[in-house]
Amino acid sequence: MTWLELLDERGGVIGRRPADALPCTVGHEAANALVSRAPGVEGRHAELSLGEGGAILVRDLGTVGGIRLAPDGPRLDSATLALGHELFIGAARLRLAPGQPGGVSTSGRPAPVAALVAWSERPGVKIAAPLVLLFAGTVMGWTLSADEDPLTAGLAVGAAVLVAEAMWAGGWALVNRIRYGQARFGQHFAVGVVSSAAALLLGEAANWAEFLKPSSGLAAVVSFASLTLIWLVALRLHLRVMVPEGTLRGRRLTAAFAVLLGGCFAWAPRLADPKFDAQAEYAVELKPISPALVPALTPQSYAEALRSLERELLADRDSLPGR
Amino acid sequence: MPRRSLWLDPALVSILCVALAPGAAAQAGPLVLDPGTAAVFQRLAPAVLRLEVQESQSKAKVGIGSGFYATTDGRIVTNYHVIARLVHEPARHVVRTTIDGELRDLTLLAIDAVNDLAILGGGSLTPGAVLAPTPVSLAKGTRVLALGHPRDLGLSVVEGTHNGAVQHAAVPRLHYTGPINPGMSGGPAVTEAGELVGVNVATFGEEVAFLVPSEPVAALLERAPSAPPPAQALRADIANQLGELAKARLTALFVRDGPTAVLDGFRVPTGSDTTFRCWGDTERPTDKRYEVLRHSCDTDGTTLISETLRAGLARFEHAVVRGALSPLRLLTALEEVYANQTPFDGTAREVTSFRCRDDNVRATKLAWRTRLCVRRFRHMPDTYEAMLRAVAPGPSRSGVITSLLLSGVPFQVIDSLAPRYLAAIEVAQ
Repeated sequence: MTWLELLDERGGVIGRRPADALPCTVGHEAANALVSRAPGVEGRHAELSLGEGGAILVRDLGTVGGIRLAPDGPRLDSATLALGHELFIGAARLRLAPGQPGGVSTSGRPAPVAALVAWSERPGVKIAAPLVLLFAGTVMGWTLSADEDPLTAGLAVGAAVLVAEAMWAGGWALVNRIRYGQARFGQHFAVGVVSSAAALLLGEAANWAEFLKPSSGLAAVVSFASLTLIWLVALRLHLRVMVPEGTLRGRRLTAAFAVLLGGCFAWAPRLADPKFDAQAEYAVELKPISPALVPALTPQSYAEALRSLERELLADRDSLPGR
Repeated sequence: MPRRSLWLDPALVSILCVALAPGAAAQAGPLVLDPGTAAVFQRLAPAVLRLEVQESQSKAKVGIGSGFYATTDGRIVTNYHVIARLVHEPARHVVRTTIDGELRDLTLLAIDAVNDLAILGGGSLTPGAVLAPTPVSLAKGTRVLALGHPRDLGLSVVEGTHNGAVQHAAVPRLHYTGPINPGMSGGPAVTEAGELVGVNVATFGEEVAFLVPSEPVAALLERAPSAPPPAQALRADIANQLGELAKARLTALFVRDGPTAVLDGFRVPTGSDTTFRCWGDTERPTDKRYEVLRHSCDTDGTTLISETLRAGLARFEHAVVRGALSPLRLLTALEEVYANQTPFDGTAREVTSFRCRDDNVRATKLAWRTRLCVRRFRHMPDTYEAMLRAVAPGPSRSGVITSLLLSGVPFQVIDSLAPRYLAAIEVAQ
């Protein structure tokens, strides 16, 4: 398989697309399949289609700069792109490159991440995402609030998640803007809502594990797995929004980074020093559970835990100097 | 443990003394209001000593207190809290007394931290007078004179009233109504006939003061060795005393048929009349759909271990949360009421950090979520502090949160009380 690649003025690949996924357009507007904010690239700059004999035909869509074979070459209305060759669209370059294994799903179906990113490009999704988030947050807050006025409490939760999501998407958009010249805030927000939903579901699984088997190996493993998955989903989605066609190398790096983040977030609180010298803070997260599922209290219920605590406490020798 | 009474803190006295310029305390000649008081004062003044705890190297004064000769061979009775630094930092501190204008070193022979008593000796002291502890039986309202060195202003006598034994106290204390001030700690309180009633130990608000009765004084004098024991043995002694107190006061707690109270559908253990002081209240937060019924009990008073660490024996509190709430909202309400901060004393040198375990256990139809946290007093064998906090939703729109704090107790007491405590809470029929 061959690929259409869009390069910025510094030669970095900012967009990839299978060469047979045609026709499509290139330009600086987000609605284009290949987007570049490089100087000289217009809103809808050129259309790419399959020409006779499998060649790719690039046709100018009435721009000032048109298409050029070299940066200082003559302006053309159309040109044919062959393997290994480049065309200039403003300061951006378009080239046909040989395929890399695993770059994109070859099953004929779009990969889930790619499909989600394509879905997030729709204008309706960008508008609906904040509204859905506000509504979901409000309903959740209202359901769980023990306040006298649960609706206000729910709206506060809805507004809080909306602001948090906007800040998260804003961070990605800022990086996107600096690196690729376009923020894509709406798309980052939409995929952010998806990753937040994943975080809610997977986080709840970890919470249940912690509730049912507190401080156990199971709770730690479930926390690690869920946090890694959450980070993997979030990173894959946002990186794909930044560079619409990711590479295999990107995938591996993303997965490694997700494992690292998942590990840090899962174990950092467990490794933190449990010491509280002057103040003990207590918090609990309760789950609706049938008493029948809870082990019965016996005079020995705490014996094992206490033996283990006693061992830990006796091992905690005074290593402080200057007594 | 929260502080319950204002001890006659020698450190505080030293601060106050710094604020007083020399000579500011110069006084006119004594005005004798009661010839009887003056006579007692003159007779017993040679028995009462000014004690000064100094930092060994700099000789700087870190605290002052009072003491008195209790035996003809020069044994001095004072409060444990006056000389606590000698137990915990023996290399850095020394206790001295002024005799004929000259400072003389004393040695620490025995302590009773629970009763807040200490016996000093050494220095080849020859008592000018002796106040031996003998059993006295006084009626409420009997005039009692307290002697000591208030705020390091010189030996003074104050008049007050005996008001009987303190109720609800874990250790015996006499209630004395009189102006006892910092610096008088360890001084004697006597009848008009000059008999020892007790030892000045603490104040609590306006003229409410406490004395250690003479019985534990006599017991400590009886067992005090002639040579000073090492500080490590003294600390082990504190651990034993706390352990004995805990076993005596706590082992009968939370047993079947023990005292209970009913809190909106929950039967909860309450304190016995003799050891515990219990309180109750109802909170109605204006912005919440629930109210909280509270019931708490504690042993009145704490045992001072050092100036930064106290052992409070036992305290427990129940909070019943009720309101027109769905099951999910009830869980939120319980989480909100459960979340709190508990202050603890002790420095990192004195106590380990807490180690905690979370569990789910079912007792008497209630599914509890529990957190048990324990820490160890580093320099006293088998002495621990434990906090058990538990929360359970009830059968109908209410739930219960409970906490049990055990402070300065042997491990075995935690082991036996924790499950018994939870088992004692049930849904009332």
